[in-house]
Amino acid sequence: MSATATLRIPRSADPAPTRTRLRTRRVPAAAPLALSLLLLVAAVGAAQLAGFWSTSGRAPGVAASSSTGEPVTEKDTSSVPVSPEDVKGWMTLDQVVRAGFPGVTEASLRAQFAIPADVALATPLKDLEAMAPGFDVTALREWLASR
Amino acid sequence: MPTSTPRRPSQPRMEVPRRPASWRRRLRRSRRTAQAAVVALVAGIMLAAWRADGSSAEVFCPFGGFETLWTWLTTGRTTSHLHSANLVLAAGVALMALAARGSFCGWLCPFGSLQEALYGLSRWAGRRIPALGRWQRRPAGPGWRRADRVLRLGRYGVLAFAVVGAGVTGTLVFRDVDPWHALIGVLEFELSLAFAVLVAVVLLSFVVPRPFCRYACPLGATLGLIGRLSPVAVERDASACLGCDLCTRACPMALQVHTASRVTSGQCIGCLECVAACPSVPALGVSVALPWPVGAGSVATRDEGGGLQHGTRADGADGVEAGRAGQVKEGALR
Repeated sequence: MSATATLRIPRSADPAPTRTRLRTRRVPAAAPLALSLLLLVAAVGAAQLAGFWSTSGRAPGVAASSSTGEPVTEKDTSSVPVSPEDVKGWMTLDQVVRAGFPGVTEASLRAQFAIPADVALATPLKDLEAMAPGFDVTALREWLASR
Repeated sequence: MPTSTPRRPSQPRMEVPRRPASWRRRLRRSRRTAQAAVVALVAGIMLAAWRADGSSAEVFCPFGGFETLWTWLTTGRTTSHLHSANLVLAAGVALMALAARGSFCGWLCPFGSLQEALYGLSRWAGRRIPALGRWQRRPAGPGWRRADRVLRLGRYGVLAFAVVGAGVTGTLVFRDVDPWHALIGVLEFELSLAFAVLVAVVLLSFVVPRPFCRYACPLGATLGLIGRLSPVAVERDASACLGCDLCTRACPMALQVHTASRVTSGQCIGCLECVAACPSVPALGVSVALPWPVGAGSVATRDEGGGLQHGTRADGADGVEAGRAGQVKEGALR
């Protein structure tokens, strides 16, 4: 090898080769990285194939409650939650009111969470969290369950 | 009058192949490309969410999966704001940790990339402005090392708070102080405690590399714990080591690589900057091994093919198994 391609290890360096595991094997540095990336992609791909990949709150329970009974593939504002647990952040105030929970009206909802009157019924619940202090979807679910 | 004998230059014990600079450049370019791609992807998701025609970037956070895991196992539902995508990504990064320890943190995590970029920017400015460069001197000394060691435990506290809190209350208790949550909502200009934490992290990133990753990241803590089961780690062969400590200086997590024999620390983010910085090919590399150490007192021998059969070990702090750094002699690095 040429002088630039090699390094001189001085005599004072530790002469004993270091190995802390039995049967160690050097591998190309890129190999574990490539494998790990492959595992991540495989996990996401397998979940999507299995129908377990969801990035919104359109749960099967809610989908079944849509007017057509067909799986909901987009934000379906015509569907209503069937139980308090089905209430999701993407739903609107209108959907909660139309769900027919006992004693839940637009007025009672606005009064309970101090939702300003100028907030439209079509406002998604997740956006309400910034508009009405004290409102959050979990609190709404609990309140609906207590009715 | 005694005559002084001229000192003979130290004889090299052996010659080892030098790591080509092109290898370093390729590795760094690959990492930067991967980091930039993920940052661009997240920026696209943020923009789509801001225009209200896409899901929030929050649903792609792997840590959300760990936060909602208990709720999902016990009720079959995910915590508010989280979805099955979080669970899938959590499983994916857990597999990544088993395959290559903290490689998600070092190669893909956009928040880690941001901190690294800020620190890089600060170093770049420090090289051009001498006053700033002096201010950027690396903290050193036993006092700092002790404080650093204690502060690094902070991320396990944050992990316990986030996961136990989410499991007990059914809500994302960490969300209110999560700088990542503040960052992905930055287009909404919401002033919150999380935003204050984000500002603190950004400012600290100018003086400390990856401060959130080191001291507070619950995802890093989770992956560090899972990564302890990984058979893969950076390994240092002391017999081929120059003891130059370039590896330690290159480590963004400030691990003492040049005194380690195998870097099994939960803080290792698998960025391979240490390997890229090392001039000696056989001194530092990635190896696969059984995840448990050999018994202390074993004798190291070199087999015919130059491979190694057994070795000695001593456990260092935080999973950096201590070795003995060689001493650099003048002229060793030619």
